[in-house]
Amino acid sequence: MRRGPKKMNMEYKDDELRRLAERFWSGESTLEEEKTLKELVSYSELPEEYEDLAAYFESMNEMSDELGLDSSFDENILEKIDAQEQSKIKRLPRTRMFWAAAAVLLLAFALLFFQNQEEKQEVMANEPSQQENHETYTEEELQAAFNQTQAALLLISSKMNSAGSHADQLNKFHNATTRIKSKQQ
Amino acid sequence: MFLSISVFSQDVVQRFFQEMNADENVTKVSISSKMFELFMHIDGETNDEKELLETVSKLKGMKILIKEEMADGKRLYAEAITRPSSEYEVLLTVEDNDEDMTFFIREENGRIAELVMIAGGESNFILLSLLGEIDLNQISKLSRSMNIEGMENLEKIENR
Repeated sequence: MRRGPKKMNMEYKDDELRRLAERFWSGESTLEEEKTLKELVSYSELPEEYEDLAAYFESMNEMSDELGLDSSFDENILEKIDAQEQSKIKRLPRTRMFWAAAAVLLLAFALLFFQNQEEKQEVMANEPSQQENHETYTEEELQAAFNQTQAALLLISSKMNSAGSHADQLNKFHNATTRIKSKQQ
Repeated sequence: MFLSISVFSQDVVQRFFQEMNADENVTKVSISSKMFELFMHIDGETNDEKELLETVSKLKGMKILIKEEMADGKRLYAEAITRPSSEYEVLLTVEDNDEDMTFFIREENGRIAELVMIAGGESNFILLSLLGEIDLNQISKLSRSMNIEGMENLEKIENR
């Protein structure tokens, strides 16, 4: 079915006019239909029976012109209604938002706390094994460390002895001092 | 008290360790008291080894810092021997053409608790600290009985 008033033939136009007028008077027409009806009645060749309708629309237009009400009136008033409704709606959620945020924060802290606890427990659980690891050097590592110690001691020893008679004197001196000290104690 | 003493006693060597940290030509060896405890599990096969183990068993820590192929070891040595605090007493000083060296000891309750050896030659420098109960007699005997020259052992350390 073709639509739109400009492409309509007269017969169709009459039918459509009748249907829309009926719906309009019974208060069932949609805004779209009302708009179409307004366009249809604005045509010059209008059946007599629709003149009151045309007059009605004309008077409505005049009235809205006088009041300065144009198509934006509806939009404006709807916006105001919306805004009022939103401010009403917002007031309650603001406290709810606070509690929601508080709950999220609390949850985050709780998670962090428990995570830390878990980590601590893990560390505590790991500690004994780490200590065990320290104790379980391989034979090779132990031997290597021992060899180094041995080498270092021998180095000290040989350096000491390279001082020749000084070392002997040193030993005698040390023995003497330890003997004196042990007597003192 | 114990902590403060041990921190203080490690000061000389520790500071040198930190100062020479970036130096790639420096060999550093550090043996902890824990490691010395573990040495007790080693069985000495020969008498020399047993004697050595006995000496080692009384030790609590060792730090060695060796720098080789350097420009002026004697200058570093001259600077290093000024580092030990008054707590350290000079035990022995040797100065000759090849190498200068000084032994310091620190006593605690009438016993030697730390032995520090600082040596510097034309192209090498050694700083060695031995912690624990130190018997100089025994240490002096070690190289005589084993008849090993010190420098050979130094090479042993460096190859690790």
